[in-house]
This record gives sequence, structure tokens and C-alpha cells, in this order.
Amino acid sequence: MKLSAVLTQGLWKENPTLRMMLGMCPVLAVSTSATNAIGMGVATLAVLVASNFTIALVKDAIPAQVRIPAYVLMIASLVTAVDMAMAAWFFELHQTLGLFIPLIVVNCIILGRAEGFAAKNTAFASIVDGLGMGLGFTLSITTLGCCRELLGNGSIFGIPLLGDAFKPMLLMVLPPGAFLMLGLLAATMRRVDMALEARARTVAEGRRQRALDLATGGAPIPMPPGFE
Amino acid sequence: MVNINRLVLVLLVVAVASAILLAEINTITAPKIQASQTAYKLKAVQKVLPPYDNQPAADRQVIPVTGGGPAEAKVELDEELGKEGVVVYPAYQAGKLVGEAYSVISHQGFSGDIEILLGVSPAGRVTGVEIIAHAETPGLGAKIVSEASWKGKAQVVGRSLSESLVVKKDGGEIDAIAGATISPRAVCGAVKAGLEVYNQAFKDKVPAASPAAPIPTAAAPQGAHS
Repeated sequence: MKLSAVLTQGLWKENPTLRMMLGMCPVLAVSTSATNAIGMGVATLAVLVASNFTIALVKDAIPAQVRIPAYVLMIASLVTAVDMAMAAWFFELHQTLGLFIPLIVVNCIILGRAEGFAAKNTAFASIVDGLGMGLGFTLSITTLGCCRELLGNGSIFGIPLLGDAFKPMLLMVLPPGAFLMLGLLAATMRRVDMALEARARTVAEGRRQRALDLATGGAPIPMPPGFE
Repeated sequence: MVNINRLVLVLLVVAVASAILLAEINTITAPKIQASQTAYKLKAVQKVLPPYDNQPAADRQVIPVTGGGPAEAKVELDEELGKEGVVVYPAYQAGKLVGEAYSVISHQGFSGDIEILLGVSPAGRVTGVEIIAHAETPGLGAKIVSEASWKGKAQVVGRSLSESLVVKKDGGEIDAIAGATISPRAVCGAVKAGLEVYNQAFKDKVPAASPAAPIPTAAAPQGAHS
């Protein structure tokens, strides 16, 4: 597979959140506001790139029978490292996200990509895959966070947008709102895909028709007997 | 036939490497985290106290109290002073005590404890409240941290035990947060408990006049008051 395809498949076609429905626990819990969502997204991205890289490097040295415990150990160490680094350099963000960082360990996207991609590909391709999947995760969780914050609080990134007349739809920042909005987003994504497919079909149909017209000089194609 | 020894060896190597990596990172980050936490707390101390001209951190006192109840003053071990109790940061203006700040913990948060830093004037009135640590729902109960999202945080300032320190939903005068009454209620409870502790245990324990000559820098000898 080409590297550009590896990078982009995580963004749309194999979007970890809205397509593969992986790592739902942080997605649902942290997407109450855009700021929290993007913080969680970037932390996951960092862990994903680092874990994909490390695992692709050591994959040949690790026997298949113990690969899962070995991967989990490595991922857990990386998450703890990110947790400590965040507490040291981004203390304020860590104050709000602190509770959710250790949860990255059990985010299935990480182990899923380790097993599904890094264990079979080169270190460089694995970094690219981690970037693509991490960006896809960050974009979808941030979109979810923006939608929920806008409807449930009238703001995005803490900036009030809808004015005082807007009555916040509190449900959206409560847990059920996470499921509702996630479903709406996944459905919207599917609808866009269907529209794209339909357009591609129309274009192909038109092209075939034009080719036929050229071949027959615009005259109707004579049907063999018995097909009228 | 799987070679068990190899499996054990590989896992051992991975585990040891992970442990070494984490130990190294911990050595690098631990002092920074400690410094950030102290700076964060001192920033909060500055916010909850009235204007002062001393150094509350250098003048801090450790006062032993007996805790308990749904909200209590935070008892901790001050390693530099070698004492266990509530760490009180006093504020002096022109040598006169104008306020004290200390941590109070509420066990009635929505998810876990809420630690607040409470500033109290010598007359027993709240001079300020800051939320130090909490695990409330982001976007909901977590709104207690700022005055912009929870009006009640400013409303408790200036109140003493003889005035209402109860959220409106419970018949009091403090605004709650729509959809999250538990978190503001816990903070109000902590403020109340903090004032009670002040009246019972702290009053007159902290010198009313500045204990030391003005301290020029933060590097002044610690433990001068122990």
C-alpha cells in the first residue's frame, strides 16, 4: 500500500472512531467540550505514533505466543511516560484530563493498530499509520466535542457563540448526548459516502453512454431478436 | 515445541526495559511536576488572599487539627517543617494579619474528593475560594472551577458562618449549576466546614503580627518558624 493511502485511510475510510467504532470509552467520556476532546486526541496521537514505531522495531524479536502481553507492557509504559510528561510540561491541561490519560492504555485503537498494522509493516510505515489513525481519532473526537459543547453549552472551545437567548440542551453534555451525537455523526459520514458513490455511478453511466453514442453514431442499439 | 525459556526471557527483557524507561522519565519529570504543583498552589494562595506584602509560603504554619466529617481541613505532612497538620498560608499587610489560606477537602463530590483552597479574613469571612483538585464531570460539574461558569464561586466571598452558605436548591442563597447541583453543594459544604475549623482551631494560632522581619527572597532560610 502506498504511504499516502496509509496516511489517509485513518482519516475517512477506516476512521477509527466513526467507522471502526474503536476506543469508544474515551470518545464518549471526554468529548463533553472541544478543549478536552482535542487534548485527549493529541495525547492518543502521541501514544499511537510512539507505540506503532516501537512495536514495528521489535516485532521480529517477539515470539507470537507472548506478543500481546509484550505489546500491552510497552503501550502501558508509553502511556505512563506521556502522562508524566504532560504533568511536567502541560500542568493545567493535565489537571482537567489527568483522569483520562491512563485510560489510553485500554483504548483498543492502540492495541488494534499494533496488531493490525505495526506487527506486519516497517517502522516508517507504522509511524505514518499512527499519524493517520491518530489524526482521524483527533478529528472525530474534536468534531464530536464541538457539536456537544455547542448544543449543550452554547460555546466552542469555551467561547460563547449562541448568545444569551440560547437555552442549552443539557442532554448533549450528559452521557446519553455522547451516544446520540456519535450516531448522528456516523450516519452523516455514511450519507456523504452514499452521495459520493451515487455521483461516481452517474458519471460512469454517462461516460459509458457517450462511448456507446460515439460507437453507434447516436442510433439506437439494435436488439437481437427476442429481446424487444 | 515452543521454547518456554525464550518466551520468559523476551517478556523479562521487555519488562526490565519498560521499568528502566519509566524510572528515567520519572527522574526527569518528578521535580518539574513538584514545582508545577507548588506554583499552582501558590498562585491559588495569591488569588484567595487579600493584598499582602509578606511571603505566605515562607511564613506558613502547620496547625494540628482533628478532622472527620463530610468535609474537613486537609491534613498533610509538611516535610520541610517536619510537622503534620493543616498547612496555613498567612497574609500580612504592613505587619498586620489580613487573611489566612488553607486547603479543605469535601468528600461529597460527584466523583471523588474536591479540594478547595479557602481564604479567610481574621473576622472569619471568606476572602476567596479556588478549586485545587477535583474529578467532576468535564463540561458539567467541572464548571465549579471558574467564576465565568459558576456564579456561586464569587457569591460565597465575603460571607461568614452567620450567613447562608447553601445552594438555592437547598433553600440557600448560592447559585448552583443547571444539571450539576452536587458539585456546587460540595464546595459550599467545604467552605462552611473550613470556616468552622477556622473558628475552632485556627483563630489566634497564627501570629496577628508579622512574625519575622521582611524576608527579602524566596530563598530565605526555611524552618525559621519551626
